[in-house]
Amino acid sequence: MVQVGTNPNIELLTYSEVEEVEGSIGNFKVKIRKKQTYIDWDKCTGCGACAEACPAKVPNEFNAGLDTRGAIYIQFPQAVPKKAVIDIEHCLNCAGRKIGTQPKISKKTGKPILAPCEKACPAGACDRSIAWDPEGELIEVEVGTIVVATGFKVMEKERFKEYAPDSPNVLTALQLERLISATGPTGGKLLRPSDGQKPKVISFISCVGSRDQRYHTYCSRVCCMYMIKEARLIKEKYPDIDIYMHFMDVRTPGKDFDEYYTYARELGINIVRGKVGGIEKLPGDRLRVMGYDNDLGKPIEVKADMVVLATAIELPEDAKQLAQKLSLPMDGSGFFKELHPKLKPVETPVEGIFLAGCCQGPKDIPDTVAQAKGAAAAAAVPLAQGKVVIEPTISEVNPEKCSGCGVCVPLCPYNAIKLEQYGDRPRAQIDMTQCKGCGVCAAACPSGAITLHGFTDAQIFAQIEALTKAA
Amino acid sequence: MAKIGVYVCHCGENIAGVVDVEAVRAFAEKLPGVTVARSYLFMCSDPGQELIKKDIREGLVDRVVVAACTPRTHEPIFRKAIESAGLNKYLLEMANIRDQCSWVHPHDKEGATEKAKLLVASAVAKAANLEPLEDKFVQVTPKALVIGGGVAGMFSALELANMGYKVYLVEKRPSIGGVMAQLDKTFPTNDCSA
Repeated sequence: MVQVGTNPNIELLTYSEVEEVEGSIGNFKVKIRKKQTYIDWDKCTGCGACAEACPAKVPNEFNAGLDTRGAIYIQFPQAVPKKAVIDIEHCLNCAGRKIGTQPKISKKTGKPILAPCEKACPAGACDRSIAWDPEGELIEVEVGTIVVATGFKVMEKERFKEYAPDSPNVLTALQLERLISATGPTGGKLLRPSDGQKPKVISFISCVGSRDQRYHTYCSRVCCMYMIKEARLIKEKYPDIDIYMHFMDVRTPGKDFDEYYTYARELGINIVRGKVGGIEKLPGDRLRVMGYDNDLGKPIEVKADMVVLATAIELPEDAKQLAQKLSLPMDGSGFFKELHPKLKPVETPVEGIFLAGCCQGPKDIPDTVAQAKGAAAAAAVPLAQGKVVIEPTISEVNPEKCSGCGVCVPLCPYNAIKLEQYGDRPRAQIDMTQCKGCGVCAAACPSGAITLHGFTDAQIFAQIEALTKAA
Repeated sequence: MAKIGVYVCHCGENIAGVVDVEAVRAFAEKLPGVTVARSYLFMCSDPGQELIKKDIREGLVDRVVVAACTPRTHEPIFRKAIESAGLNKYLLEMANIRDQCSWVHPHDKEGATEKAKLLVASAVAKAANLEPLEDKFVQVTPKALVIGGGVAGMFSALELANMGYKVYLVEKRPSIGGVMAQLDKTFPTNDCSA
C-alpha cells in the first residue's frame, strides 16, 4: 500500500468514482467524481484527533459493523492516504455548525463556538465555515487503456435465517477477521460479542451461500483456506478452545495449501465433512449447531459459544453500474465476463479494457496478484506500441450518396455517427475509433450510402444465395 | 475471376469425429471459383498453414476459405499466414464447422456433414466477393486508468507505473487497501496483509 502511495507515476484518486467513460482503446475520456471530503487534505496530517472528538456513532464498515466510528473518521490506522473525511449524512452538526455557516459567538468569552472536530484539529484542516461543494469535484482524464479491479463483497449473515443471524455470536468470517486483528474492535483479543467472554467452543460453517442453488452455484474458492487460517491462528494462540469445522468438501488446491490444512489437523482442530442444516439459540448465549457427519453417516450436534459463517463472495451492486458505463457484459455468476475463459482471461469484449481480481470471479490473493500483473502487462501492450490497429471491417459513408436524413445517428449503439457539414448539406460521418462494425447503420440507410466493409450487400446476398440454392 | 482455395480442417477428432471431412472437401472442389480444395489434420499447425501459403505463392489461389474452428481465436493466425505469402489478409473467410456444426450435432453425422457443406458453400460465395482492405491506426495516449484500489488494483497500478506509464488509480473509499486491509494475516504464509 505504501509503495502505491509513494510511486511518482501513480496519481491516487481516493474517495472518487468513475462517472462517465467515452472513447475507445487508445483514447478513453473518463470523467471522475472526487467526492467531497469536507476536509482540507493538504493540511490534514491524519492525526485522528477529530475522529476521537466526534460524538456521532456510525456502524464502522472497516470493522464489519462490530463497533462504531464517528461521522468524521479515518478509514483505518494504516490508511493510504491517511486523511480524515466527514460522512455528511451522519454528521450531527454539533454547536449548530452546518457546513458553510459562520460560528456563533459566545457571549461569555466573545470567541466563536466551534464544533468538537474543528476544535480538535491542530492543523486547521477541519473548517466548517468553508462552503464546500457537496458535489465534490468532477475531473476528466485521458487514458489509453483501463484495468477494472473493483473487487467483491461478502454476503451478510442476515440472508441466512437458518443460521440464527440475530445472535451476536454468529459472525461472518470477515467479522471474525476483525475480531482477531490487532487493529480490530477488541485490539485482537478473541471475545464473543454478546458478553465479552472468551469462547470455549467455536464452530465454522463453510459454503454459506456458495455451492447452493438458492444463492450462488459457484465455489467462492477462498473460504476453505481462510477458515483454516482463522482456526489455526485461534488454536495456536488459545490451545484450550475447541474448534469444529463443518465442510461440504475441504478444497485446498493451491501451492502449499494442503500442507497448511494438514497442520491444522495436527493442531487438533476437528474437521467434519457434512452440511450444517441449522443453528438454534440456547440459554447462556450459546448456539446448537445441527449438522451431519458424512464419514460417520450420522447427525452431529455441537454446542458452541460462537459460530463463524463463511459467506459467499459476490459482486457489489455499484460494480454492476460501472459495468454499464463501460459496456462490459456480466457472466452467469454475476461477475465481469472475460473475453475467453482460458485464452483471454484478462481481456474483455471492449478493446482496451482489462479485468483483474475478484471482479472477474472469486480468487485468492496469490491468484489475484498473478492476474493483476497479467492485466497490467496486457494493458501496457497498446501503450508500448504507441498506436493501435483498427480493423477495417467497419462502416463507411459515401458522402455523395448520403442525403443527410440522420436516421443512422440515433440507431448507432456506440455513438459513432455524427452529422457534419459536407458541401451543401450536413451528412453522416462515422468515427472509425468508435465504430464496432455491427452494421445497424448500413442496414437502416435508405440511400444505400453506408457500406460495412467485410459484410457488403454483395457479399451477404451471395452467401444467402449459396445457402438457399444448395438446400 | 477469383481463384478460391478451400482448406478443410479435421481439428483432430473435434470436427472429423462427426463431419465427413473428405466429403466436404470433395464437395468444395466442385464449387464455382474453387481452384484448390485440401484437408489436413490441424490446419492451424505449421504444416497446415504451409499448405495454404504454398498454393498462394504458386499462384493457384488468391482468395482463401478455411473451414475449421472459431475466427475469434484462429482468424488472426490464418490472416497472418496468407499475408506472409503475399496476399491481402482480408481476402480470408472462415467457415466455423466446429463450434457451429460438429460440436452442436455430435449425434447426427450425416446432417452435420450436409451442414458443413452449406457453411463452406456460403463462405466460398462470400470469398468470391471479398475485397482487399487496409488496416487503420490510431495514436495511443500513454497513460492508464485502474479502477479499484484493492490487491488487484494496487498490483496492476504498480506494474504499469514501474513500466514507466502514468497511472490514475481510482478508489471509492477514502483509502486504498480494499478488503485485504481488513485481513489480519493471509494464507498460506500468515504474513500481515498491509
